[in-house]
Amino acid sequence: MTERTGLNIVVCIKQVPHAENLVIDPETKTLKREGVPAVINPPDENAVELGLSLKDKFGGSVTVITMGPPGAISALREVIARGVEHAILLSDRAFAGADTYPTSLVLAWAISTLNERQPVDLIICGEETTDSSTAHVGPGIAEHLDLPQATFVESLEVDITRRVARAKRSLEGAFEVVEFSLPGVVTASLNMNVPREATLCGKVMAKRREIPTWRASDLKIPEEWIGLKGSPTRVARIETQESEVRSCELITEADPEKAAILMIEALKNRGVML
Amino acid sequence: MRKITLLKRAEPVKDLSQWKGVWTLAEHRDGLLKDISLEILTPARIVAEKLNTEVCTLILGHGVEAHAERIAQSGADRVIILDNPLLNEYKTEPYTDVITNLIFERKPEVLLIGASRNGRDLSSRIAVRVGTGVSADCTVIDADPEKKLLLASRPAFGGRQLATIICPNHRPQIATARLGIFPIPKPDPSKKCIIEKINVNVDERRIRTRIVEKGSIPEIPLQKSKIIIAGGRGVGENGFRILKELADLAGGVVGASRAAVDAGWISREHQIGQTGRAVSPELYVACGISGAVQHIAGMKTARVVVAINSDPKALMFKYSDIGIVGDALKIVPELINVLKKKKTGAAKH
Repeated sequence: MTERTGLNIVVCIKQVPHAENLVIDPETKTLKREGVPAVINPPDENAVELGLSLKDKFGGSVTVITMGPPGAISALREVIARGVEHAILLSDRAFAGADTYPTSLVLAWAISTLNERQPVDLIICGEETTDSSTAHVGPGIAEHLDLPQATFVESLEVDITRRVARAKRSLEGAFEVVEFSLPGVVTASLNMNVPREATLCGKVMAKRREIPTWRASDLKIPEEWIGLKGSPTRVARIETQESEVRSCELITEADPEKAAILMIEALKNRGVML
Repeated sequence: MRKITLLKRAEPVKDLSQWKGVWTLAEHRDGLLKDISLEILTPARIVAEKLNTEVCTLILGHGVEAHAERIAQSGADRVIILDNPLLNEYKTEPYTDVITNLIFERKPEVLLIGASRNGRDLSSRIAVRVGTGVSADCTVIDADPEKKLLLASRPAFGGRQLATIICPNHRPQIATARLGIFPIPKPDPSKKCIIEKINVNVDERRIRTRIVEKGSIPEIPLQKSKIIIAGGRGVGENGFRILKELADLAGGVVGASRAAVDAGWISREHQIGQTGRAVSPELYVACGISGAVQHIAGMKTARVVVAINSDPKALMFKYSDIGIVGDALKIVPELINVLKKKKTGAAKH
């Protein structure tokens, strides 16, 4: 066997509704959805950047995969425009309604398929999604594939000769640096790096690029294993929570000093001493 | 190079009645028991009573008897110490191995784990290995005594709605509990509890992830603080220095919205909201925060809320008791002046 160089990296991303624009109208008590665009899940952007920067340093390739509706292809075009060479859309009605178990299974299955063509060295996911915030898909993929993992990673170094990854994990009030031999799975922290911008040339190329769609039948994955059928959990009910609207005593005093004094007074009336 | 191979899938459990007991996992670091280990005993007791079963806490490590004692007094009916020095530090693989082996051996119907970063690192791995589901980061945990189901609820759609997740045909039903949501039970020294110790084997070759360095990051006492001065997009990087000065003077801490954290003005440990910390201080001052639903989800239980925002239409005012229409960067320095005068005045007396 010849000595391998470079890194064959797979990055898993998800398209989510733009979270910052998610606002509740206190009067109608409904979620304002109009004009809320779909974006790449923010930490997934960091995952893509981590993949691209490792490829810049050591050579190899970056393949980005996403599971989602046909429209998720726009997320893949976006990362191609930034320099990703390969992208695959995993899209099938049978994938719909999946909880984190079948989601990580489908992604792992696709990675396993890629691995048969060319051995995969590193799998990168975002630490969690803004729309469901479970942080379970990365570890789920690692378990399905029996790989080591490092979650909530703030920085990652690779020793290419030893083929060892060294990841700094951020925990509550603590950090740790862990090492594991490749292949393995890491989940990238939000803001761990600054995602590069798409180049003009990249955008042109991304538009023209044909992106393969893999369906359940292409993966040869049994339908009862995936989607809602393959999900151990169910949503039993969704309740709208009590409104938190308060009656607001408004201070419109233009002079900052007077406004500050009025605020301290208003606080005193409510039993708060600053 | 090791070949990547697929393992098995989640198989529904045939005889659900064989699975009994509510388990919790205790988390500890550097000899200290994490608060979440006690917090999860509160929902665990409720669930165990509704399912007419016992609460059993697992604690992994060596020399953890004092932690076991504390848990015993805080509501567990049984504590199982899985003893091995290699388990003193959390590591994904041995923790997954040891816990899943015991799950297959003893068949608990419920497993509750803290939704800490390590708790989430672990819970998904256990769920996939055992072939069951997991509800992440729950804020309400209850049970249906008739259907014998865990009812694990978590905020959805930016915290506006609460989704209740069930896991009807797979066991154990796993949920992770959000940090700082459930109260720590009052210790009861007379509480009866069986402490069981099992010496477990850990195959060192199975530990593929080695910890080569570790350290602590000073934790921001957001959840313990009575006063929080929080800033958002309207404050800017320099503004956070002013907020810090006010917070220090008032004996509080600085909080932040996601927008401010994403902008890189302040570290993530300060983030309040659905993806940050949930807080309930006496006083919450929101400076230049627009009032996105995810932010409100993290501070709605504050006793008194003040909003300072130059946009009179800012949603934050709707969630506040006192609102000041104005530039936080001008008003906060005046608050600082008033407080400073008060302090020097008090010192003279």
